[in-house]
Amino acid sequence: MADAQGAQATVEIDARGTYCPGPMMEMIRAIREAKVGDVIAVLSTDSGSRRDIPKWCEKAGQELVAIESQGDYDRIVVKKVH
Amino acid sequence: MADSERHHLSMIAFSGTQDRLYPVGVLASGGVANDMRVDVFLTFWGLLAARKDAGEFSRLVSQDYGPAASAFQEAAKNLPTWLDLLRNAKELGDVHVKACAMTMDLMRLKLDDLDPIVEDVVGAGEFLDSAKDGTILVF
Repeated sequence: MADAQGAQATVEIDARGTYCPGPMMEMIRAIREAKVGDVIAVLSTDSGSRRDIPKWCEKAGQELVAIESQGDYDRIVVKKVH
Repeated sequence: MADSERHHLSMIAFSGTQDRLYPVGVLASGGVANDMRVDVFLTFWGLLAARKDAGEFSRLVSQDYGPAASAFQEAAKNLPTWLDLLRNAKELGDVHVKACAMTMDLMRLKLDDLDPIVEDVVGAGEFLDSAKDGTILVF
């Protein structure tokens, strides 16, 4: 997983201001609707999502591309690999 | 993963106040994220909170925690409701919401009186039989 800034995404979802489990559920929904190879970025101000989304990726077998700290929010990037 | 290998989380929602119903919505979401089957059994006050015409009842918060209760009530205005969380979880995963038959009879409710998320009316015996090999949480 890269900690680089600005990983390219196919779809970007602004979930800032929503609380746990909001950003993670947005990510799960987007991955479900995406095509294999698509990259989803979720913007989140919820600190739990930094941990929850990577755990979900591990479990679901999807690829965590990056967690980018953008000051007061995170940009969490996941690639749909299956 | 085969159904028999998936973890099964069953929650009994007895309380009707928001502070106890939110965990049901949040944990149902967590269950979906973990590919669990999630069942929710709404009984007594928890069932009354899921009526279509719950109105003010659906905004009650337990007063057990004094001034913190009103802080929560205020903060909850910015949150999706517990039923919204459950709906979202159900759309994305294997989530089933059932109403307690005894409470339905006692309060003279019909399935049609409840939010459409409730799919069935079952007795305590049937619910526990379905839940017995998994984790059971009571709220």
